[in-house]
Amino acid sequence: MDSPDGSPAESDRTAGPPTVSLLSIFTTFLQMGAISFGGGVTGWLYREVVDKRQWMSAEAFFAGLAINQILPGANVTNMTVYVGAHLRGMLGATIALTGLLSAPFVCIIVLFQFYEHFSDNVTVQRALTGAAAAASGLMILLGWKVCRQLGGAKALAIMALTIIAVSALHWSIVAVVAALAPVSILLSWKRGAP
Amino acid sequence: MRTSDDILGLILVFAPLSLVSIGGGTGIIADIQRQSIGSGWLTPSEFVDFFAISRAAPGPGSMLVVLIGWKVSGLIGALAATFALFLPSSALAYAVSRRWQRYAGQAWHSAFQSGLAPIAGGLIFAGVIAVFQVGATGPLTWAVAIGTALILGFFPRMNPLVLMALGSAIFCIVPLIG
Repeated sequence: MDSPDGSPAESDRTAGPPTVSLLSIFTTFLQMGAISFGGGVTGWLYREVVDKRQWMSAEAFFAGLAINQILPGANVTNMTVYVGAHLRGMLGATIALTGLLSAPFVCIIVLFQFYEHFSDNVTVQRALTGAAAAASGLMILLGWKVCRQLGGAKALAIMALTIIAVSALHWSIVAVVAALAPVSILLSWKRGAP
Repeated sequence: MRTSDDILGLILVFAPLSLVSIGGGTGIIADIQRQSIGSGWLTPSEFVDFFAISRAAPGPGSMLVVLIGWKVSGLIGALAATFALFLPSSALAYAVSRRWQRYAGQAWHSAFQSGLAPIAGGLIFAGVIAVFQVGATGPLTWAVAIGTALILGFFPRMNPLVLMALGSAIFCIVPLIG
């Protein structure tokens, strides 16, 4: 689907990861992408990469998780890049990511064809609205979980400001993050965050 | 040419969002809603439908942009949207992971993590608001949304897809009763 970037992978390997075929990387992530419904994909990834195939140590895996949490991008895609890079550098990362997204890409386009065909059906419309309501509920729960972990009034204030800026003032998210992230991180740093 | 304008438009919208998608695709839903409807790519009702489909389908929820890209410009649009949304953040993740294989010093990492958390949380709620702003909202929508949150909160092992199917069923059945 896409071609790997031109530059060769850097070879600052530590403790030599196993030599793994690109095909193996591709099929592992292809499988993961195909079954990645809802949450829990990270757990699946851990079982495959650390337990079953020993592609990396648990330590390295968790280090990856930690750094990826503060990076933009979905956890699953960042971890995919991380594991692929660990195994085969840039080529590995590219192949892994391509594998991960291939099945979802095809699947969602197929679903769209069904959607187009039935989009004027009232029942289908209602079903989708109901599904969207439920999916919103999932997001509410996620937001709530994040909320509970916040350390104090200042953090809550930042969260409230974010919501106001995006939802009421209709600022672009890029602007909101650019404005609030440095402030929030600085506050956190001064607080000596746990 | 129309098509290349469309493709460029898709890239210009999704690529920056890739870099601020803290906590993943969930965080940027508010902007995707605002910009894709504002650009005339989607009607509000289509946005809600696409959102539902992307949550039901396998893969990250940000595959929503694949649908938008496809609608705007077919396969090329879908591919462009995918690359635009996934490449920037992935490239950053790659660069960082190569250079910080064992990051030293917990302090800055904790500061980042707890600094970004309230923003990520705010973006998630903004995303929920964005979906509600354009969806057919009424007491039933709220009931299903809150109900889903509560159920999954108390029964975390439950498959989210089951809850989405339940939501669909409720929305189909209730009008028949009322």
